[in-house]
Amino acid sequence: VKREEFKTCEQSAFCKQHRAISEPTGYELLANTISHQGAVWTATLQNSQNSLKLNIIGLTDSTVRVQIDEPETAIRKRYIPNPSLVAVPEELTFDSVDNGAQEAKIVGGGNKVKVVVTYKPFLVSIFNGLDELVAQVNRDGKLKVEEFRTKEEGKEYPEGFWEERFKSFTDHKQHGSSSVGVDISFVNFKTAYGLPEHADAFALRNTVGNTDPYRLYNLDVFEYELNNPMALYVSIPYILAHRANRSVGALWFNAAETWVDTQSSVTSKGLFGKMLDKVTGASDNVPHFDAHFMSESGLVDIFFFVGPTVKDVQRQNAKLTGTTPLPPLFSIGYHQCRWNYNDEQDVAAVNKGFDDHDMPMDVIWLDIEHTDGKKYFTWDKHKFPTPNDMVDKVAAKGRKMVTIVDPHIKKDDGYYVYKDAKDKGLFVKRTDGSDFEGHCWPGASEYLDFWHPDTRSYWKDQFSFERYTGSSSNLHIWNDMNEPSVFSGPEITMDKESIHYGGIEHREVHNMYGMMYTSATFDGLMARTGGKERPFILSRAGFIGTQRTAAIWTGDNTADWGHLEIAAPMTLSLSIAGVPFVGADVGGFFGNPDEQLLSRWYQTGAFQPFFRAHAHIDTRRREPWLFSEQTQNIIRDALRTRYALLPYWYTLFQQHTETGVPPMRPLFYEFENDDTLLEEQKQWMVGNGILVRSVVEKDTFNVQVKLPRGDHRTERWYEWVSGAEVKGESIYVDAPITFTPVYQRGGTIIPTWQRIRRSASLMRDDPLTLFVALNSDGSSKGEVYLDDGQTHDYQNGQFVKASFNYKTESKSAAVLEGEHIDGKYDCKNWIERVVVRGVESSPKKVEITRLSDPVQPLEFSYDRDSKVLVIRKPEALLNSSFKIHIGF
Amino acid sequence: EDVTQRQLKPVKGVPHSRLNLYQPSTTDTFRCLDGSQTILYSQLNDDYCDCKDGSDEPGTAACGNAHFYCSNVGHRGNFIPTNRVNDKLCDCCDGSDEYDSGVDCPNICDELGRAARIEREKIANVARKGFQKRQELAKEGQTLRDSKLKDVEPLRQERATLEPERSRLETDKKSAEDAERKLQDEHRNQWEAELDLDKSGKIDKEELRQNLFLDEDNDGFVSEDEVNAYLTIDEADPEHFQSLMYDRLKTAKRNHLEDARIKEEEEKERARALENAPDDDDLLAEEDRHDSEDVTSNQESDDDNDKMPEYPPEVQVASEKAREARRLFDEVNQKTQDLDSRIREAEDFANSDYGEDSAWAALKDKCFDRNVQQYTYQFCPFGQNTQKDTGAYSGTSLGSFKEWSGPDGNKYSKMHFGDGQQCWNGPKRSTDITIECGEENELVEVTEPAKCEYLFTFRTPLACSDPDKEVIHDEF
Repeated sequence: VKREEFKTCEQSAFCKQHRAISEPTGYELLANTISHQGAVWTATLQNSQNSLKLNIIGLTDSTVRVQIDEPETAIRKRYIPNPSLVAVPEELTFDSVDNGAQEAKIVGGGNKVKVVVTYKPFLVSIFNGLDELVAQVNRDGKLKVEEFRTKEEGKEYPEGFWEERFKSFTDHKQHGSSSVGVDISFVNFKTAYGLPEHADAFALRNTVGNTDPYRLYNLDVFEYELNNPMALYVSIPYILAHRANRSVGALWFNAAETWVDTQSSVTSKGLFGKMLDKVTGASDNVPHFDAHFMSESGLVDIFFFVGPTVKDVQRQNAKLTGTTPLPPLFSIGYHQCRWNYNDEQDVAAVNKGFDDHDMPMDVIWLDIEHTDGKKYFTWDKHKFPTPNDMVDKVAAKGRKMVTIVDPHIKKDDGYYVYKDAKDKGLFVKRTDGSDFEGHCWPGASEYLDFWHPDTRSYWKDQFSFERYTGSSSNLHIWNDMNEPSVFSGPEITMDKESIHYGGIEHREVHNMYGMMYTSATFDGLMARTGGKERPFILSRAGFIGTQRTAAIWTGDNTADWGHLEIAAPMTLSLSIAGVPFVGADVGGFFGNPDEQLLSRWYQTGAFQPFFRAHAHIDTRRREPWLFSEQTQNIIRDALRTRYALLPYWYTLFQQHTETGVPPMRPLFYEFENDDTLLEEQKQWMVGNGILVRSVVEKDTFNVQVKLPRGDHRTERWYEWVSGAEVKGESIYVDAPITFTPVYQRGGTIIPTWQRIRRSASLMRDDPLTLFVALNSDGSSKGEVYLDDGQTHDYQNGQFVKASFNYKTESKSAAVLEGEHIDGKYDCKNWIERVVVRGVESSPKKVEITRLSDPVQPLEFSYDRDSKVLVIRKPEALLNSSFKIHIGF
Repeated sequence: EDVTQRQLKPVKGVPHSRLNLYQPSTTDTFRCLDGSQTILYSQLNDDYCDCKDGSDEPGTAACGNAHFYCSNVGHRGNFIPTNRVNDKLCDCCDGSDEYDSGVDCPNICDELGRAARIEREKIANVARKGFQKRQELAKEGQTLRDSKLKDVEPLRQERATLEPERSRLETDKKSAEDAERKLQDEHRNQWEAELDLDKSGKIDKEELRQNLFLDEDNDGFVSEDEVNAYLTIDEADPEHFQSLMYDRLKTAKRNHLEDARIKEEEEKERARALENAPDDDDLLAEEDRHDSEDVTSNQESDDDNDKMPEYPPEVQVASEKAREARRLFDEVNQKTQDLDSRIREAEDFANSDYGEDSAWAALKDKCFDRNVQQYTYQFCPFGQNTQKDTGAYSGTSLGSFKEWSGPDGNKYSKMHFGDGQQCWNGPKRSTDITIECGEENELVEVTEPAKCEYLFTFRTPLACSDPDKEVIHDEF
């Protein structure tokens, strides 16, 4: 990476100034300005510099908003990134408000959250529903708001106030510096997570006194390096603090460039004064995780989600910022991409290659070279003369294609998109009113302004099948370079002084650009089928709310072991911050992976939500069949393992839409009370039932695996492939190149498809095999969700949800009950096999009752060594109920 | 009519030839073909996988490792992986793989069969013609090879015959040259001895001064400067004298003598002229001429500076002998070198792999072009491949012949060329050539699947085998 291309905190005037705050800024709340109505409590804050307006807003589901803005008299309105929320946050009237002489106590509706506002010095303390102090705002007195002002001649301003230089670029600040910042402290928490996207550890580090603060400013960083707080393509200013059984989340609601200084420390109780009276534990030393947020503009606007459990916090975040809609089934299969597949013959050959080598695959991708001179929505006539036919041929195997559509528009009057947008005035502007022009793949380019109301509707229309010739419902979209990437710009992005519709400066909304772009593309894909088919979009840049319209990948990584290893912490960070459909380029984008690295990457990618291989144009071809037979077998195996688990992944994505919980989870999501798991980033959970510790180290064929045993040491674990139970809490596992350490948790029932076909949609109606892993009570449960995998008919009940429950009733009897719990989809899926793991002895008989049918005996086989019972052909339809009785 | 055939139960997905393996036992059971299990016969093709080897489900998608046979009457029967059974895609031309997926597959076997037959005939035709050409080319190649190999022996013999003479002449040359050098050295040493007046073994400035030929400015004596031009140190030992002074001194002496001779002639001329008394103009003209003669003669002497200084006659004789010895040697040596290179060429030829029947030798120095958009690609088997702008004179090397790279048993179906021009930020350009049977030699396709790695498809009769000898393989 060329570090000199990107700013350090020292080179960013506002970051430098905020970071240098060493004394409290002295804000006080003026008690006589307090007023409240319903769910909104307001007051004025004041210090020697200026006056501010404080709003405390009570919201549903244990959420409270702390908002600090300039007063109504401000000469300019600050930008609030409302489009990133799923809706206007739902207010909930306070239960009680007690405005005392020195502090105010505000109790949220249902007593789920409480806020104590101390007047002098100004301090906000947040309590959860159990009356525990979980967070504080401005405890260290770093609150700072640079109010908007007009420039006075002859007056001295701090460095960089009206103009800031970086390398050869000058940023003219029309409105001057308008930064905001404040410190947030997560009280009684040692570890915190989030602030994606950084190529760094999952647990947030101490940046104070160590490195630059974590930077959140969407940038196209060429050949990014690992283990540093440099900004990358996605910015989600969200922190999750967690300790045993307790979590709290804070969303810094600001779309401008943001730096976050973090530090985990332990301080004597005294610091917290009587706020900490209710903190449990006799210890005099209280840990706290501090985060000093500094933004270039916007408001101090923080949503606190007080949990109290980690899944509660996730849900509270999802309520506000949304969830990823149920993806089409093909998109959670395997994607094959390259910069570039050269022509229609190349695409056909790749399509055939997977079939010839009996490897499942769902999507073939086309990068920028498929276009006519990097003009998106067009095709290179020589290489792609008949795109509809090409896509049809791929779709004939149940597959799809994806083409890239970037937000930079080639400045060419012969290019209809450019001409239209120019005529309609849809481009981002310079301060002098002319269109902003930058250099990107096509050469001179201009950038669409998605804050202009007409841009969204124009963009939407471009995806109709008539407009985008060569496209069809089997063609989906990749939005790349949407930071936005501007090769000729400062830090390879758009000048901050650029102007959006309504006079909004780019600096005020930069981090939202990518999200606004995919949101408009999503509208386009929905409209082209009249809302019938589910869209699929992959995006590189993202912000709060990105998950509602796109999947995210970790950008241009490198084919080396460090990058393989960093995929898990990066995707975990995005997952807990509300973006669940995430992954990294399998094989690494830059460079050529050797067979060992490639094998391990496929094994890893198979267990991360977005599973795609991609490679840079200068690399050697790396379709799976170009490698040795052993590697081909390993890749085939990894692909089949993924495809077998599609019903499980699909169910997890559906559950996510209801609960907000991501399919890929840190271990502490499932073992909330285990504080030895707080920094785990080599292992992760897929749902509540599968634990993965893929091998990400070179030349390593033996790894250590932690199998959490739970609060009462009752958790049981089974090897995923053999089904044999595994004992021990920290074990060493043999992992030859053909093997990935994966475990099923006792107490879970995981649905799979054991018949692996050429693509996911071909498997849709196939029978299921259930893997039942018994817990220490001899019981187990699970769920499956299925539908047609591509339309929105599920919104009208066209889906099937079934639940499974295994109970050991006595030494001689066990029952597996399957229940159709929801949906009226006429599904063809039936249960062809039940595998029960952890069965102590061989059954004497197995019978099934289905609805009103008579009892039918079932054949079974039992393996004494692995303690696995296989029940043959229950033949129970998924949308009907059944009971399997096992007699011992 | 085979009675046993008539009694065989048909089993979905199993070809006729293997039905006997799928018949029920007397107890109505079926034994997995790998012997691992025995199941009820009703469990054969019952859409549940019982056998580890998948043998109990040839007709359904239940086992991941089984194969379904499409009879495809009218075309060609073939096996497909059973994961294609009932996946809603029509894989068998007779549609037999989709019997329970709700999809009705049309039977297009007759069509396909017809088309396949036509295609097969077309290919066979081309192959036949091509094969014939190949036979001819093989003869050509064989002839070429044979002639090269045949020629080698006599060449080797001739070379062998010449060797003793060459050797002898080389020795002669050496001794003649040695003799020459010896005499030259002696002469030099002799002169040095003459100049070394005090016989100190070294020449010093005083001694040099005694030699009037060093008087360049003709002022009658040799000055300090005039000596310093030839001797920069105080005294010169024999080595210094021979290597740094001898030649220049010799030249200076010669020039001096020459100048003296010229002066003498001028005097004679003037005397003659005075007798004849021509006008001043003529005199002037004469003088001019003499001046120019002087210039040229001086030039000649200057030129002579580059040559060896004159030696006495006996040394010159030795030089003459050496020159002659060299001439005789060079003559023969040239012949042997020539032979060596022709032998090498023939050996290369013999060692190159031109196919089992040397047929590829016919293409040894031939090249084939193909234009793709603005480029012309050239394929030279056994040579170098290039890419150039169409019309341009030179281009970029895409690699030179390295080896035949086809799979075992079919080595000559692919060629690999490597070590072409280095690609910026990438590998050295290389080309893989796929070779197909065709009536004519033709470069039919050029692609670049990955940066700087090229793929050519070359059609040639050399890749055609005798179609009438082709064995029809069972598709499996």
